[in-house]
Amino acid sequence: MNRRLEGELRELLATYAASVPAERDPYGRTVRSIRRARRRRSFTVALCACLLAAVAVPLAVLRPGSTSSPMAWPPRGVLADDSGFRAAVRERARAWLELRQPELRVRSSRVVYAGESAQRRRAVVALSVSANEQSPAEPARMAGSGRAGTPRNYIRLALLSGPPGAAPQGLRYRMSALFLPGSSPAASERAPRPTLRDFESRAGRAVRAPVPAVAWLEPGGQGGAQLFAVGPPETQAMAYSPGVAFHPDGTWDRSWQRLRARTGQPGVARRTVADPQAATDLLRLDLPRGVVAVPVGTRQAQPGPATELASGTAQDRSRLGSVGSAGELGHSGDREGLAAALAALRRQTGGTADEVQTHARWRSAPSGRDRQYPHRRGRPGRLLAASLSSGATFQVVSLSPRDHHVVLVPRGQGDRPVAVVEPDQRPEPDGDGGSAENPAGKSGKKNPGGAGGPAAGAEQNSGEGPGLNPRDGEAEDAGAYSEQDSEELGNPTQPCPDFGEDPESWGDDDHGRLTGDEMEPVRRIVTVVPGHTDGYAQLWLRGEKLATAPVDETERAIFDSHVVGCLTSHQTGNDAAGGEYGVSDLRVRVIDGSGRRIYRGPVHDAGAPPPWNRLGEPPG
Amino acid sequence: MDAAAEAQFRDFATGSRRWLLPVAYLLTGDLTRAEELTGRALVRVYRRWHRGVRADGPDRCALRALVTLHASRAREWLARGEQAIDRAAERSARSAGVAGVTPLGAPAAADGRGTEDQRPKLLRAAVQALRPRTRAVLVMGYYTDLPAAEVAELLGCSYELVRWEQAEGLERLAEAVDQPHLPLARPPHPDGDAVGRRG
Repeated sequence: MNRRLEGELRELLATYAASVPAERDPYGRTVRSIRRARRRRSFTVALCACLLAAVAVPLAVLRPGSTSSPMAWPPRGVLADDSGFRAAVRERARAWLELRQPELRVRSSRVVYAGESAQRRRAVVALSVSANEQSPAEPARMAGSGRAGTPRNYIRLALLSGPPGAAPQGLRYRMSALFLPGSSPAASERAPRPTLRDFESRAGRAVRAPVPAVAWLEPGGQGGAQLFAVGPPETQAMAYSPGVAFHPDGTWDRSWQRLRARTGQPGVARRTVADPQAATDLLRLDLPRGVVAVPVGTRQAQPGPATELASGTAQDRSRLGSVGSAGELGHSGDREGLAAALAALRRQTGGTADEVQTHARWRSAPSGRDRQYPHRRGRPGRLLAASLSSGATFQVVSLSPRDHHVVLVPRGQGDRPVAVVEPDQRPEPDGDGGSAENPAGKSGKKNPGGAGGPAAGAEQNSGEGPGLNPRDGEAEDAGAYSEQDSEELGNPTQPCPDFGEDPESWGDDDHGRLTGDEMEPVRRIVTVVPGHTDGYAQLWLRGEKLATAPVDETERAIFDSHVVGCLTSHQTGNDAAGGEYGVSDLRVRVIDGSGRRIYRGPVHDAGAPPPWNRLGEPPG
Repeated sequence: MDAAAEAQFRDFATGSRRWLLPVAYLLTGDLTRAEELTGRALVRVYRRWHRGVRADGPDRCALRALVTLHASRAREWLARGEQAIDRAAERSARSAGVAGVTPLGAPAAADGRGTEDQRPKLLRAAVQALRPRTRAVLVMGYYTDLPAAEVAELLGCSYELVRWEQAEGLERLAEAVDQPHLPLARPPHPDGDAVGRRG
């Protein structure tokens, strides 16, 4: 049967195979099929190549440090085609840098922007700089860049600006930015809600851009400032952060505002920002929003009931952690709220929350090198730590008038804010320094300057009229200063609890941290920042420009130190040297970021240069 | 490919049209699929023409390509509609019964066997219902007259497996022809293929 079946199967297969018609042109079909396959493969390869190019090329172009070296940026702006203007601006920038820092050598320079708006004529010059072996390399000031070592070759971007139509010689140096090749001075914050510990190390980034960019703030506009940013021409977007906001859970973030390039030039953005702190060079240094008074804790000159209670009260630090939850104390949207929150905290910690030690310091500890160049310290914000007699410690992080202030309990159960002061309702320090029971101005006075007689100061200044910055002579600046200064100079001041009138009597201990009874002066911090004009520095009190002081040869000390100080007294009047300046006697106690006193005395004495000194060197 | 090789391939392709397509038709049971398999097999031979295909024998290479492609394509067809093919085969067998002698599943004669007239159609339907590899083994063995060892080499399996497939296939065909009242089913597979076990 099997044989039969096999035969039938063989016959069946042969029969059906014979019924199949022969293929007419198998070769042609094969060739056509192969060609179709080749075309498909070629198309697929081309498509993949296009996709790859579309993705990879922009990444390569926009990758920081690749094509974004400022020395490779093309000149932009309406004046960029004027070769004579460019050459003059380059020479002016080079001369300025070599005059100010003779240890540097400008290898080459390039104008990357030369333009003019309705208010300003600006030029940005990229300077390729080499530092000699004797000079510490400057890029160390790039706080937070995470770069080890100090490269000797780097790039500085100098901004020169002046009134519209000004000749190159009429453009004044405003400020410069360091540019480290291969790094972005505006590193983005990756964590959307970083913790406060992250804040300690990474805060202060004020400009974010997908590519390295630099930005400057210049005073101007209606009480605000002109933010001017320059990046590579391929820059797609820039963002500006007006400040940092803290959240109840201890995290913080920044709000970002997109900068639109209204200049018509790629990679160049200009924007008016309502920020009276505009004079700071925070953007170019990636610093937070300056230094302001901090309503922290309490100051008790005399031991009060709380201290007495503390002497017989067991220390229960564990309670502090539980107390230090935002949920219990909540936010304090105003000064009274903050005071109430602190008072509640004091009560719940056994009434021991009087302040026994307070020090103000920058977040990063100074090193030996930093002592020489203190501005190189990372300054993510002002920190005040208030140690309580209970052993607990408050920390108050303060960034700027526009930022929130946060009172932290760092050693409870993690960093937790116990009180947050909204920026718009930030408390103003009392002129009389408050009291033990009213550490943060519980009286609720809205006297922005305290009790020291603001009217007198205002009148004095108004009597002098505008023109506090006559050397500038620029319409925009003059207008911006004159209106503001008449009020700012009116800020009353109280003499500081001083260290002794004679600086010679300062002992070594005086150079240590501030003690509790020195807290009040710190509340009225005067920030000295590089002026917008050559040879002038500005004194800022609580984010408001108080005065402009000539600095002359001491300019560098001020520039480098970025000191803060306590205004002890000031008067306005004609300057004997020619009436250029309205402040004739401005006494300042200057404290650096680590709480070291630097100088105490008049800023400007008629006919004599202000006796600024280097850090840690009392004037002899 | 140079002109000489191109000419050689042209001759081979032209000559293969008389035997390659029928083999593919016997493997698939469908002329459209057979043409697809043949075209793909020729493309594969063309691409390997310069890599020793000529020395190895283009016929053997084309046959191997055909069998390999049939195995892979059969899996796709199975996933997409092999059941329909099987039902079509059953319908073919059933229609053969209706038109000729006995409907599938019903005894055609007193002894239960199909009539002599039904045998070719029942046999064809049974061949269509075989598993692809079993069908390939039978086609290679009884149409191309290849020995089992060469079939095993072509299919990439062992000699024993080819013998088993051949025996199993013949058994299925015999059952289909001698007992048409039973439904067509696939035999168990030694590799563990339990598809279509009778019952």
